[in-house]
Amino acid sequence: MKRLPLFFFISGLLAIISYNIGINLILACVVFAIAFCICKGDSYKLIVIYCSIIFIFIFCRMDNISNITSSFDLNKNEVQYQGRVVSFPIYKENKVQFVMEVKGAKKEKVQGFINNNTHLLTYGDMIEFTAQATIPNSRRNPGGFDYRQYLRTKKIYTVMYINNDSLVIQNNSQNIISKNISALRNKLTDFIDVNFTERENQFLRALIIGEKGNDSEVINNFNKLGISHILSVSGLHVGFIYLFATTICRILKLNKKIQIYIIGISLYTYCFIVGFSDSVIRASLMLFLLLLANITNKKYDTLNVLCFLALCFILHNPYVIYSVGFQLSYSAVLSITVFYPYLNNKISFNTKYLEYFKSIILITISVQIGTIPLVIYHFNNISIFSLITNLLIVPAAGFIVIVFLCVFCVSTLLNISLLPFLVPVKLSINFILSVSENLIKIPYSYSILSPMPFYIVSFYYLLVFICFGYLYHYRLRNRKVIIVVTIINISIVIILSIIPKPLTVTYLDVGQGDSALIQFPSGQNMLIDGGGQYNYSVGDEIIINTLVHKNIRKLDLVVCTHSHDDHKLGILEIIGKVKIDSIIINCLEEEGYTDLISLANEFNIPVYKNNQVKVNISKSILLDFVYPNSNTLYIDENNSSVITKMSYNDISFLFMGDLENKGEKNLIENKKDISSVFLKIGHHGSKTSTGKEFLSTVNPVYGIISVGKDNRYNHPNQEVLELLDNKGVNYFRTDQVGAIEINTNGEKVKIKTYTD
Amino acid sequence: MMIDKFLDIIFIPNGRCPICKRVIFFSDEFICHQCKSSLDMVGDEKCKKCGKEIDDGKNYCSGCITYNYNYQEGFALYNYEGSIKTIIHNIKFSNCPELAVYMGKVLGKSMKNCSWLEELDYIIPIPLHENRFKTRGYNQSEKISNGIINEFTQMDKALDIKLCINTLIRQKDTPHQLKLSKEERFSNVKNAFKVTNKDVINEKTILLVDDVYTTGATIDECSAKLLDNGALKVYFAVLASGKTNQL
Ligand SMILES: [Zn+2]
Ligand SMILES: [Zn+2]
Repeated sequence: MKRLPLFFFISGLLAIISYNIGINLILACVVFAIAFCICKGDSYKLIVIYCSIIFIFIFCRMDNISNITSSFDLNKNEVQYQGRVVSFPIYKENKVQFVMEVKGAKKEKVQGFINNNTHLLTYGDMIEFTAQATIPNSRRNPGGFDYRQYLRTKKIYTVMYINNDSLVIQNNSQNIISKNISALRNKLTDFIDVNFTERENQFLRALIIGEKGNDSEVINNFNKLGISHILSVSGLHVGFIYLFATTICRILKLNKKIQIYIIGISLYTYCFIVGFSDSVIRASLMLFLLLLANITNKKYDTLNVLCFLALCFILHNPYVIYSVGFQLSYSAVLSITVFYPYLNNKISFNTKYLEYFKSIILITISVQIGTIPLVIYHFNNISIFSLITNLLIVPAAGFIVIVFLCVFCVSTLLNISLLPFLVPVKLSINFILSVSENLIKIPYSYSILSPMPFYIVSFYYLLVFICFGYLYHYRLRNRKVIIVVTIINISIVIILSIIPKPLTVTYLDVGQGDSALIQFPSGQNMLIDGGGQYNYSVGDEIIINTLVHKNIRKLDLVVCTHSHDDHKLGILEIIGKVKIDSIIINCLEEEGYTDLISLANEFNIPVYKNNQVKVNISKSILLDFVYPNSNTLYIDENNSSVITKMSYNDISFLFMGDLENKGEKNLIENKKDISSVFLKIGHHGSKTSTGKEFLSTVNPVYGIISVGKDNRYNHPNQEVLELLDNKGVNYFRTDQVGAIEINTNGEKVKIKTYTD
Repeated sequence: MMIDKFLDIIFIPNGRCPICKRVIFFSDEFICHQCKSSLDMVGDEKCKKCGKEIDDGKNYCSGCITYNYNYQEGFALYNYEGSIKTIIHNIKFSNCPELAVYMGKVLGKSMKNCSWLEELDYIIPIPLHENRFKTRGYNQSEKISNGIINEFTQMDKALDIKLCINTLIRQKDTPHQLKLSKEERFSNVKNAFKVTNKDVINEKTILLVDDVYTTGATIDECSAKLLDNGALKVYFAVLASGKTNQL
């Protein structure tokens, strides 16, 4: 029986999926038992047994790792720890980050950060420090980054922010191998530092040693243009190292055993230098197996090798499947394996130059075909120029790697300066950088796309495989099965688009501040406030990401309740980045809105006062800006907040902005119906808001407090919380549960919080 | 030992279809279904002597009319056109012995209707010269023969036909025949072969196996040598034969 690695890998993958969607292990075992009985022939039965063993092992391992939590005391503030640096520290301005092994209850890997760093740390340093151990943040908002899961893919469960003053570097302890490799790496970085300018330096460090220091413009541009793969050290580089080593071996006419050692050592060294990233380990092992196949005179099979390596990875840590590097690296190679030779065979030219360009184009196309759903999922954009940029930049990058490594080797071995030879390298770097800078300026050079739902992804792959003539079966009956599956898939797409959508209200976790996104069943979208912080762009990092994730391209209505920065700043940040149809401000404070109004004018967005507009969404949804009126007296900014009441049949929402007691009094006196099921508690739960009388009038079932962790205003106030408890209001705090998403069809509600 | 077993699980000989280069995911075949059905099989109208496809309604092809070959009769599975050329090229030059065995099985399966099958005693693959055997690592005709024998033993009425190598050897390292004319080919292979052990083939009926039959020069020369050394009859089977109009 062939392709055992494929079967094994698929069973591993199924184990991970089953664990995540909550399938019982016993049920899975029953399925395997049935499969065992159905299969005819001993060899098939044996395969089922192997597959079930792998399934059970990975399932249990998944369960095991998901239950591992930090072994450190998370409640104590500052504790003295001892540890050892086990990664090459990455310096960003005055911050440094690295992985260390820390002795706690047991030895554990910890992600360490030092702000305002004044130390020079290196791999292998034994350090003593005081720090607070915390659990890494999980996803707090739709489309946000799940740092906890990211670290879990590296078997790290704790983050420590180290106090710079407390850090003492004791000594360096490394074994001989890592000492030599670190020294080599230091030589490499010194060489880059000495010979290149700041701009080139950043690019080269990313290209050669995979060190992405600053989240710079360069990397952003590369992501948008779909060429970030050349910055993530990958098969390309390892390929060069392999070529280099094999050529030397061939010239020296070494025997096969020595060849294996030499190439193995050089690949290991390179992996060490770039910090054992998933894609580099994958590429090195693939090449090593290629060498083995050549030496043992066997036919190398990429698909099997790939499946075998992926299986090893997930056996070691199933969570690696969530790592972006792992996903992209494996899916890219898989697509090249499955699509490229077929395409290459179909199209042929006689000229050598054309053949070369053809192969680059076809490899790029193959990679794109296979990885597009993943790229969109992780980066939310695709570039129409990626073909051209790849054509220009991949050869240039290859040239840089080769020439740079040669010059580096020769000049370190002979201890001479070969500066003139670096000129072409510098030229190529600047060429690449200017190409990317200019392309990004062209309008529509990249388009933002939202992650595709699972059924569309599966339909996409089904279609691709059919187009490439896979899934073809000589039996008509089996071909019919494939057609039926396709039709079912299409009908699911159609049914899902017909099913009425719920009303979705998402209270975003914007730290200290307010922001709520409302998606109406009719497809319109409204944003009430945009949060805002001074050292962090809430608009870019949270609101835009959420909109992209939810596939929202247009905000029909943006309400800015009042002019305080923790409500307004985020709105200023998204104007021009997402289409906005109209902005609504309160009618009491015009001066505070000057910046908003002028920016809105610049982008031709009409700004209305809350008492001037009447919004019709649909028959069943009523939207009313109940406060302030034209005759309301101005008290202060907070008490001018626009109060929005929205009801969908039985379910109603009241958004309070930062309204305080005085405003609440006015609101009650207005005698409008403000009773609601959901109440966004006013002013982040401050004691100046949410009076007893007011709460009785609204009489909510649920309360939402949008508040930042450990904020300096001590929001929310203890008395307010007690009042809510006494009234039996079930309240959620964004600092505790992250974003809160409420889905309702007008009768029932479904509440989802983003962290537990 | 363990490593060898492990490598055998990972490195499989039929990971990719040699014709269209698509990955073969789940089948034990070496060629994908689409490509296999696209191969040009020899039709029903064929030369009664050499088995080539003919389209002018006669009984014999022009080659067999003008020259009296030494062999009795031959069987060809495909016309030497289109994708089969890729396969034969792979068998010869891309280190694919397993593909040759597989093609041998396909050939053996389609030979079951040959009337002379039960007469056969031995299968002799057309030998390679020592030098070429060393560079290639295997003899493709021998691999094809292995496939044929494998198929014969699994037939409903199992045939007991043995492989006979080293009885016929190639003593002249002749150049490739590709660019030679018909006459040159015949002179090229003249006395290229030698029988080492007369007793084995004495009064036996022999099946010669090769990859391609074009002018028949090689097979004719081998047949002549075998018959000279006491063989009773010689038949041949090839994967593909060139149509009459090509040479
Ligand atoms: Zn094929
Ligand atoms: Zn004929």
